[in-house]
Amino acid sequence: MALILRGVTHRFGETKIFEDLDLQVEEGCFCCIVGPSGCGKSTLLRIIAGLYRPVKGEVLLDNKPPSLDKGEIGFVFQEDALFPWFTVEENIKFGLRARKVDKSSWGQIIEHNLQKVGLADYRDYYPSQLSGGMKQRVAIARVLAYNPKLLLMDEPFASLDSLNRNMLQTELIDLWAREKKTILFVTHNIDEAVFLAERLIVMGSKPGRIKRVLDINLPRPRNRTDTEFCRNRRSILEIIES
Amino acid sequence: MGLFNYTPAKAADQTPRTRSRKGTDYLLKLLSVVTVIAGWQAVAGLHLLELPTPTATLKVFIGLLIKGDPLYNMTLQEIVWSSLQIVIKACLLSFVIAVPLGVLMGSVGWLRKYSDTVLEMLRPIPPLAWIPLAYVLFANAGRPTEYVQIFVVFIGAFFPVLLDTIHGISLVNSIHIEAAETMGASRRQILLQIMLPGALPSIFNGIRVGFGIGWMCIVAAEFVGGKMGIGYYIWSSYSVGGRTAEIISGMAAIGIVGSIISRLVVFLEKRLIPWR
Repeated sequence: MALILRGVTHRFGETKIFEDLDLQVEEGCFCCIVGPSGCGKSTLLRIIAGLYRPVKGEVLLDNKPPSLDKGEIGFVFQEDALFPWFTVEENIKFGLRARKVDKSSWGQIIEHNLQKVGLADYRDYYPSQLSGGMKQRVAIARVLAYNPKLLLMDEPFASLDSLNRNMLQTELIDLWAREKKTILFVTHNIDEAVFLAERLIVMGSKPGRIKRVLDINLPRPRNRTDTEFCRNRRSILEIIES
Repeated sequence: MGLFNYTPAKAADQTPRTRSRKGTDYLLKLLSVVTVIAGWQAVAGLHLLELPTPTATLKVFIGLLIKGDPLYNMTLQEIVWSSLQIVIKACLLSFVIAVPLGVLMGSVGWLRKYSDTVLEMLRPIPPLAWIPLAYVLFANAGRPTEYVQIFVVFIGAFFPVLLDTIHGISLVNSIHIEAAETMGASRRQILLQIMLPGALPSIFNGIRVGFGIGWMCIVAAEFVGGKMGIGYYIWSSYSVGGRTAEIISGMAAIGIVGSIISRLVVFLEKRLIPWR
């Protein structure tokens, strides 16, 4: 078991965000969380990352509570979270320095991870010179560079146009297939969830709770126009709306 | 890696501003200067006020630049420079203290609350109101006048920089701090590499305003006392009597130097903040 949540409860003041949440995610699993806005998806990711402390319950990563300063977690945000005052290369270096990665290997790590996302020629660019899709590619390379166990992605492609989004989804699946990282991917886009997920967690709101956990056994590469794909999408929509 | 061999599109070239538009801008700038001089000429021509004509003043101004003022045996540049030295010393001192203090106050909650009350009481006191107290405080110092002037300029430049630094820190995008935290960054790394650069545009704004106020303060501080400097010069030109053109020349020098300082800070900002 890579990631375990037991009885996780969270409130903002009097408002219940979610109550008594249990969840298990196996190592290497690509797991998507879908649900309506306001069901606490983003808050849940931040609790797993250790950015927020839950009011009750515990989060275990390989039987230990994850800690921010061990670099076990890579977080990719919905918003553009690249540091605008650093170039692409310096953005990646920031994480390597924080993780105290041996300096002699930095050059090779940066080169390698930028190649993974197809931006090897953009080391010296500032984020403001990149398009939205390129920025999210750099954000992914930035966390991959320090080799976290668990990748938390909070609607990372939500602000991209649909063509770019499809392209990045395909690239992400290829990355995952090669790197075998555990990925927890939050989205409100059902199409995206069905395309990416091995396991799908459907959340309901008020208060946030897990409605259903199901496996998506469609073969890869997946085809969005395939009848099976559409049938999956329809049944998930039904669960969300029920 | 065949799947990733896509080439991102280069950002489209920005359409350059057309030449005629730039020409119009220049014309407008020129026209504003012409309007002021024409208005001045008209008022001077009516002989209602004790005002020399623009041409007479310009002659004196150029004379002051080249030959200097016979009463003081100094050129206008030398007079300005002696004030500017004080301003530079005092402003640098105030930036060195105000920026780190502002970063700390902006990022450490209890420190902010601890110092807020005192600062809010000190801030409304005009820098010039400190002059009498400063003379008392520095009475036994080696060069009291210079210390008083540095002190007053320091006070004038301090608050804009401090407040803009605090403001800049509060504007730092929380997503950047969260991103740094998830990467395991230390508090020191977040402070120096996230908060400080994030606040830099605002800090520069404070420095620009601080320099401007410092430059105003030195003129007023020299009215009260001093050996030489641009404020002392225009005040003593008034005391001597009949030297209106010298007074206006001194005022023009203050304006020119003030706008040069402001442009220099903006230039420096563009060099130091290349990511914007």
